[in-house]
Amino acid sequence: MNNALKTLTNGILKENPTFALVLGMCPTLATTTSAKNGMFMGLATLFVLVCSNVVISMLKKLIPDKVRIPAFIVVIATFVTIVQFLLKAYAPAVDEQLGLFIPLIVVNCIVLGRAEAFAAKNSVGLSALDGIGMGLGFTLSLTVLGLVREFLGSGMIFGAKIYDGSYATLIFVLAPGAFIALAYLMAIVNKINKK
Amino acid sequence: MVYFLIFVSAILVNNIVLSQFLGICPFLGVSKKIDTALGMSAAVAFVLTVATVVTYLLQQLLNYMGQEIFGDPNTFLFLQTILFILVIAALVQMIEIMLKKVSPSLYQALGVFLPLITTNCCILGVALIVADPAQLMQKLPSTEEVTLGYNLLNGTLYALATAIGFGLALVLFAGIREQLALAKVPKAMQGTPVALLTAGLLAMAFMGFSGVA
Amino acid sequence: MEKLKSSLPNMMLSLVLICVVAAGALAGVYLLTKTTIAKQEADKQKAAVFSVLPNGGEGAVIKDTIETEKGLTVYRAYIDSTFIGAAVKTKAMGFGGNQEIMVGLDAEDVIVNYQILKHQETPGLGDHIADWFNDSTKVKSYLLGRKANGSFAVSKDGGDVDAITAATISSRAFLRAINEAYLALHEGEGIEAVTSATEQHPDSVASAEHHCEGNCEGKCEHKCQGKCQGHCKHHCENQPVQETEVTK
Repeated sequence: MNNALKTLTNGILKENPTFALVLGMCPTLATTTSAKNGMFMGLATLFVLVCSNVVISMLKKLIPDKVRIPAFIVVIATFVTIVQFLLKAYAPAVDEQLGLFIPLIVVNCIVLGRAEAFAAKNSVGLSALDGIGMGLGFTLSLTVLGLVREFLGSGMIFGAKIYDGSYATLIFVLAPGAFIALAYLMAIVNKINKK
Repeated sequence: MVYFLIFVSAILVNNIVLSQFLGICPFLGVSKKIDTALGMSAAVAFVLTVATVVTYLLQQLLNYMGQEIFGDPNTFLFLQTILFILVIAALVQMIEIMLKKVSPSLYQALGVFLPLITTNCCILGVALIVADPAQLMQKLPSTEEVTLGYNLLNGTLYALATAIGFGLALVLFAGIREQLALAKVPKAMQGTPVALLTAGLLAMAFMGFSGVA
Repeated sequence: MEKLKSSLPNMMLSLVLICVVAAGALAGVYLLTKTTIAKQEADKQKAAVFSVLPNGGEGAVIKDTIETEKGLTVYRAYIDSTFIGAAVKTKAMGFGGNQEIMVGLDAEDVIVNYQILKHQETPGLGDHIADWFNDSTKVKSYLLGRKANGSFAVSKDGGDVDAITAATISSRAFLRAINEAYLALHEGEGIEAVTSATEQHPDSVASAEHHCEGNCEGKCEHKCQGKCQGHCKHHCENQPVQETEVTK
C-alpha cells in the first residue's frame, strides 16, 4: 500500500514531469495561454499516459526487446488518435484550441519515457498508478502555468475577469511570455526544493 | 517573390521554435555548444524535408484509397498519426544506415543526433501540417495577387524553410548559451530556468519580425 | 510466463499483431464517432452562416452555395424564393496570417453581422477585429447596418472607418475581406470595386440592381437569359456547387 501511494505521488511532486524532469516542453509552452487550455491539454495527456501504461504493462512479456520501441509507439499513437476523435466528437471547441498538439502527444517524451522506464518493468496496477500520478503532475503544472499567464496576460482566471484586461501585461499570453513565466516558476520550484 | 515570402515567414515571422513551440526538446537539450547545434540543425533539415515529402505522398495515397474504396477521401484519416510516426521512425533508421554506408564522414557528424530526431515533435508537427490542406494554406503567405495553392512543391518549401528556421533559432541560442556559461547566475535560476529566460528574450526579438510577411 | 525472445519470427509476429489490433481499435472508434463529428462540423458551419443572416436567418433556406475563383463561399438565403440576403465566407491576409470571416449582407447589401472564423492576429491588439466593428458605442468604426459597396477603407487610407488602435494592418485586412465578400456576392454583375474611398458610383450599382430586381433574384437557376442577361449572368454561369437546401 505504501508502495502504491509512493508511486502515485512520485509524479506529482518529486518527479514532476515539467518542473523536475523537464519533459514535454512543447505542449507545456504552447497550450498554456489560459488555465483552461493548459488543464485540458494535461487531461488529454493523462488519459493517453494511463491507457498506454496499462496496455504496455500487460503486453510487456509479449513484446520482444528489440522491437519494443516501435511497439510502444504504435500503442501510444492508437490512444492518441482515440483521444483526438473523442475530443472532435464531444468537445470540438477544445479540439480547436489545442489543435496540432493533440496528435503531437505521440512524441511527448513523458509518455514514451514512462512506458520505457516504468510500465515495461512493473505490474499493471502500479503502472496505472504511475500513469495517473505523472498525468496529474503534468496537468497540475500546465494548469498553474496557464493560470499565471492568463492572470498576468489577460487579467482573467479560468475565463473569469479579475481586473481590467487593458492593464494586463500582454506579453504573457504571447510566445516570449511562455518562456519567461515557465523560467520563473521553475526557479521558484527549485528554490523551494533546495530548502 | 511569393516563394521568397515562404522563407521569410517560416524562418523569421513564424519561427517554428520561438513562436510555434515545436521542437523545444532539442532546442533546450542540444544547445550548449554551437558545433553540436549546427550538427543537429543539419540532421533535422535533412530528415524534416525527406519526411515531409514521404508523408505528403502517403497522405495522397490514403486519400486516393479512401476515395476509391469508400467514396470518401477522409476514410483513412484515423490511421494518419500512427502511420506518420512509424514512417518517420523508419525513415530515420534508413537514413542512418544509408549515411553509414554512403558517407561515413557525414555520419560521423550527424550520426549521434539521428536517433533523437524521431521524438522531435517538429518533424511530426510539420508533416501533419503539410498533409492537411487547410492547415498548410493557413501557414503559407498570400499576397493580394498570388494565392499559393496546396501542392507538393509548396509543402516541401515550407518544410525546408521551417527547418532553416529551426537551425537559425538553435544556433543563435547555442551562441548565447556559450556566453551564458561564463556568467554568474543565481542558484535557483541555474540550468533550465535561465535557458528558458534567454529563449524568452530571443522570442521577443523574433516578435519584431511579425507583420513583415 | 517467460518473456518472448527477440527472434525474427517473434518480432514480426508481435509487431504485426499489435498493429492489426491497433488499426482495428481505431477503425472501431472512427466508425463510432464518425456521425457525431460530421454533425458537429455541419452544425458549426450552419450556426456561423445563420448567425450573420438577417433576423438570425429565421425561416430562411440556403439554396445555393457558390464557390468563387478566389476561394470565397457565398451562401444565398431565401424565404419562399425571395432573396433575403447572403452569408459570405471571406478571407484576407492580415498581420499574422489569414483572417477568415463570415459576413452577412441582406438583399440591399447592408451588413447584418459578421463572425470571425479563424485568425492569427496579435492577441490584445489585432484580435480586436472580433469586437471592434460591431461595437455600437464606437460610431466611427461600427459597420453593422452600413451599406457595403466594396469600398470600405480605414481613415488612414482616406476611408471613413476608424482602424483598431495600433492594429491598422489587421483592420485593413478585415475591411478588404468585407469588400471581397461584397464583390463575390455580386460577381459577374458588372460591378467593379470603387477604388477611391471618397468617390462612389451609385449609378452603376443602382442600375445593375434595377435590372435584376424582381426578375432574376431567386429564380436564376431556372431562367434568366432574356431580360437580365449580363447582369445576372453569374447566377447562370456559376452553377451552384451543391444543390443542398439547409434550413435552420
